[in-house]
Amino acid sequence: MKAEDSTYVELMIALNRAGIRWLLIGRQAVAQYGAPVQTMDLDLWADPEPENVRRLVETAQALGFEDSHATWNVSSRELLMIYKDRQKVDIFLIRTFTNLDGKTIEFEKAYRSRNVAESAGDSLKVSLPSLADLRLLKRMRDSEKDREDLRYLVLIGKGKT
Amino acid sequence: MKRIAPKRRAMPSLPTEDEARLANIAWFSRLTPTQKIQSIEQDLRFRERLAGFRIRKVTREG
Repeated sequence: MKAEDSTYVELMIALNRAGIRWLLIGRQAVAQYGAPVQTMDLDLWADPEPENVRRLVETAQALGFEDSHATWNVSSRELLMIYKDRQKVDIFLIRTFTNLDGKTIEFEKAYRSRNVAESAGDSLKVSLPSLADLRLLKRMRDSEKDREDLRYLVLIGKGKT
Repeated sequence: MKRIAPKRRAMPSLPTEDEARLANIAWFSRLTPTQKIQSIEQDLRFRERLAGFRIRKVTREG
């Protein structure tokens, strides 16, 4: 780990070390695929399987994150909002997302077809949904931002074919 | 007058866009001006770190 690591990097490295199954979603994922967009928080999608969630909570607590509900009782929550220093992370604990088009996407399937962003000599590895899955996730809401992200993802996908 | 359609969302159990924004406002408003700048700097540093990363397909578990 580098001295100047951001809280996000610290969290992602720790999650990987603990063998936790997670995916980077939201605008940070869209940006990682090459879209010139900005965001101020981090959205993760974690396997909601209890053991995965237990280890996730343990890891976040060990790093000094605080739970927005202050209880760390996550048994009935689909969204865990955690904070540390000046950074905020939203973690979705959902088995299956259903988007506005009625299309579903399961964590297991998304994780199996994930991509990994990495760089030689860097301990950080970032798991991302495939472009197709990220497009499905971007249809969860119909905001202007989501539509813009979706347009970028469609164009990026065309560039790869 | 233009009618604004209600915002659509797929999963009612999750926060609406405005609820998510309110949570962001609540968090951001707790930061001091210096912390707000540091928050933005941390975010930029994160993007900088990932800027050189290459994306590869995972072909098998692990």
